[in-house]
Amino acid sequence: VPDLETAVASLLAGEVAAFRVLVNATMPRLFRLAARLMGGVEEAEDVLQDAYLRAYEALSNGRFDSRSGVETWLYRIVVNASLDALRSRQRIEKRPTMFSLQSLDSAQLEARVALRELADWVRALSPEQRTAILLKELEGLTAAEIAVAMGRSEGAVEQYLVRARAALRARRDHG
Amino acid sequence: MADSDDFESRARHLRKATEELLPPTGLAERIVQNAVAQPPVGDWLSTVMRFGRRGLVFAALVAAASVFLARLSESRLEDAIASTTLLEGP
Repeated sequence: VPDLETAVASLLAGEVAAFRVLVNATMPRLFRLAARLMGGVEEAEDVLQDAYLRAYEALSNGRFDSRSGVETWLYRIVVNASLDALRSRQRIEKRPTMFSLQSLDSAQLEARVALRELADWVRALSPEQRTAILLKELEGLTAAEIAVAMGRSEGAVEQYLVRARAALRARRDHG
Repeated sequence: MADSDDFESRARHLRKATEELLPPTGLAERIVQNAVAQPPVGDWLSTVMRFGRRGLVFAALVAAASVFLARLSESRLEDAIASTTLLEGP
């Protein structure tokens, strides 16, 4: 397992190659997070490009607070990049994306079908409610951890969760 | 209770079904190339701005001093060339 703190220290010292170590070590988990939040693989790719670019610029300019740990810091950047993307998607209705079935094995195909189902499940929620409920139910975070990741108060997160559950329940009851 | 069970089981199913989701091949490399290829626009400015207004004043003074020194050395060089020309004579 690569030492992320060492990679960050090298990057801060100007070693650009250390960024590759950081991306390779953190991307699988962050990709899954972005795909769940966005409900699609292509949108997750866009979010990750944006998030890692923000991270690279921050690290290159010495704007990294090491107190939180690099993985938590990156996780927060991805959550916020996803929130931004979800908000802008509300304004511009995107056409559904297609993916090539031929290049996927059955496990990946099943995972992508599940992503579609997931996206449909939370479709009616606001970006904040959607992010909060998915971080809680799929990522297994506590309300306090969600509050840190989203940059909101714990009380606000509790509200998002209550409203999200109510909306999902209402949707199920009314078809 | 049934409500809660239904919600929990759906969330559990979706969590499990997306657990093995893998990034597309080559995405990591594209991300690295994209980030590293960005021009370092604003690097010097953000460094200066971290020190606030005093940083900006300091940067302006350094720039002014550089111009002054460049002109000074230029005029000395011109003087030196002129005196050499006078010494050599026609």
